[in-house]
Amino acid sequence: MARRASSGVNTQALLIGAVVLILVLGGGYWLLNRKPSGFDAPSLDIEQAVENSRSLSGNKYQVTGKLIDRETEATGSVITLQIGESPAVRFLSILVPAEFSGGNLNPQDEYTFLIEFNTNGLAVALDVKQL
Amino acid sequence: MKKPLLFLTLALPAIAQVYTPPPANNTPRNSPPSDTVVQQPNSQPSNNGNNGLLGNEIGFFDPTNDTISWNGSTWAASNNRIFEARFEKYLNEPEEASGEANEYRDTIEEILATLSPHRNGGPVFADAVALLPRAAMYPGDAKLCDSLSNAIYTAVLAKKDVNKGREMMVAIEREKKKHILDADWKARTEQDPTAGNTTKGAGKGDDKEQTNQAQQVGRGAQSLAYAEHLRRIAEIEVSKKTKEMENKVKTELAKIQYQALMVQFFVQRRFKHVVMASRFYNMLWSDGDGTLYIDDKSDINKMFSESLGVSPTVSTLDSLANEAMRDIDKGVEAFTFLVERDELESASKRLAESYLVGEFMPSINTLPREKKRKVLTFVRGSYVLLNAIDSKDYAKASEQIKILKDQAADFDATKAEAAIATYSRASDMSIMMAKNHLAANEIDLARAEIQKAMEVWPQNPKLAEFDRLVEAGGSVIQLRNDFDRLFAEQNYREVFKRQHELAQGINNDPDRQAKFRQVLENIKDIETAVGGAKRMSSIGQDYAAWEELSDVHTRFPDDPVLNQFMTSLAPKVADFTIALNKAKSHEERGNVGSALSWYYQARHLHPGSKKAEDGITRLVGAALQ
Repeated sequence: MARRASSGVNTQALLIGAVVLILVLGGGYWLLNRKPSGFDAPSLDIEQAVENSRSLSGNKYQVTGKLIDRETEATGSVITLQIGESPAVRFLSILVPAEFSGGNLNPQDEYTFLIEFNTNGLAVALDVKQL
Repeated sequence: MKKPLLFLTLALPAIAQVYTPPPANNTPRNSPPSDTVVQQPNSQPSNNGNNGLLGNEIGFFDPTNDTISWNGSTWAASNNRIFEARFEKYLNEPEEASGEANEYRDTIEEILATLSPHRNGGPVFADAVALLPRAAMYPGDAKLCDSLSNAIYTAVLAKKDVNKGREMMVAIEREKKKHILDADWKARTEQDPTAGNTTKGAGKGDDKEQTNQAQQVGRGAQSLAYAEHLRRIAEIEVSKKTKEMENKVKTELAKIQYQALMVQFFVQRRFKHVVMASRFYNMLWSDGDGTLYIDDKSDINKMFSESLGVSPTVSTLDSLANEAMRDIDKGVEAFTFLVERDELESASKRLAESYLVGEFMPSINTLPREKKRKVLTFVRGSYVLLNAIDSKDYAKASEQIKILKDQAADFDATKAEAAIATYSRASDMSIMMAKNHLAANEIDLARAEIQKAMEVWPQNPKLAEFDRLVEAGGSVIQLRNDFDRLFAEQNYREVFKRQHELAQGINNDPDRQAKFRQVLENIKDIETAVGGAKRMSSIGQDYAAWEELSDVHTRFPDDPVLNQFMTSLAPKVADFTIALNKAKSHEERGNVGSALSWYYQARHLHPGSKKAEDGITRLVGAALQ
């Protein structure tokens, strides 16, 4: 008897389509969720900054952390980033000058700051990118 | 008028004498009065060298020292013990109204009347002498009339001796004249019998006749017999002078012995006997020489010469005795009058004065006992007062003054009250000073003040208070010393632990009390902080507990309890304390970035940390300026 012919479903094409779909979805997800690219500066060694930030005076770094505190005066603001998670959590306070135009900084958001340490060892914000 | 009487009166203690302040020159100013006899035998300068006849036989009152010198001893004039017993005995004795006593007094009066120069027919020496033995039989006479008889007899014998001597001198004088006549005769009449005869020459061719010259050798004034007459005359003259001297000495010695007896009567206050002896004297020696043979330096001579301005005589003694008798009678009259008016103090004084001077006078001896006993109670009370002051029992003296005031309206307690006030005040002041010194822990000064207080008033009731204070003060001083030591050692925990005990030791000490209060407050703060920290630690809030204690620890870094608890917390809060310490260290060095990082680190560990919050606020504020 003659074998019955298949009913039009091409399994190979289905596999290829699924792969393509997966690639498309994955790319979209990456595009949507990828972190912004950092600044052209080395990452801050937070342990060194905590132990003796004055030794970093004049140097520029980028640092990423969660904004946990903010004190604002007419002359500017001082924000504090929490870097890392418990128990190895560290904190870095950054002076944000009044003329700084980095947009709104919201507590609990993560930001990457381009900073430069002044003579008092205090980090001064030069630029910021929200993650 | 009556200096001698005044002398006698002053020389004896006055009955109601309550207090005589001691002279400032020989006793300490704060010494209490003393009636105690001051025995200074043979050491008084005034008595030295006066040990001759009648030199020290009579007491001598020295008003500057308030003392009486008598026979080498010095007595306090305010001494009442000598007199006390005799006077009290006298006040209790019945009057001498027996027939024997009356007869004695009559005999004495009869003797005086017999010897009186105003007696009709003149004094009769022999009759008066004959009465003396009768008077001597009365016991109260103490055989003094016998002594007087003996003195008279001795004087008479001396006079007879002198008379015999005079007769002998007449005989001697007769013999002397005979020798003189014989010698004169011999000198005038005895010649050489061959004088004027003619003889032939003896040689060859010598036919001249010679006339013999008178040869007087061995004859007349040149004879041995004439020389013997002269020697005998000289011998008789010497013998005569010797006899005259012997008679004079005998007379003077007889007078001296007699006068000594008279002075003795006077000193013994036997004034009737003095008058009798005086009248006998005038009959024994009618030569008018009544001078008393008394040592010029003796006290009795001074008394006579200073009071009368003349040398003492027998008549002086006589007049003084009469004056004394009259004064005694006046004193008794005054006593009788004052007793009737219930003025017992003055009455007792007058009677005491009269008794002292005229103990043997009839007016004293015949005073009715009922009158005397009226002042006895007052006198006894006076003695109690004197003894109380003498023994420095001023509390008893004050009580006695009240009693005496009730008994006698005329009782003058001014001196006693002044003395009591002075000495009790002085004693109280010393006790107060001692208390102050004790409170200041000046033990030696306190002891010296208490010694003063005890010397002034040994039975001061406040001394008992002080004793109680000292008993308590022993522990008080110990507690105070403990407090000072613990405070110096900064052992405040021990102070806190013994707070109730130590509080007694620093009572009335503002400086120590301030320190004590500060210690208690500090410990209370520490205890409160530790208590709170323990509660927090018990619920897991170790960071909060540590931070609670850290400020207290800054103030009291040496408190053992606080340190112990903080040490127990240290392992649990090490990361927190490290964060805070590092933050502080960086802040001090101006490393603001690192300091802020560590403050936030600390706040992360203990979100309620005030230190962390303050540090952050402080540094952020500085950064934003």
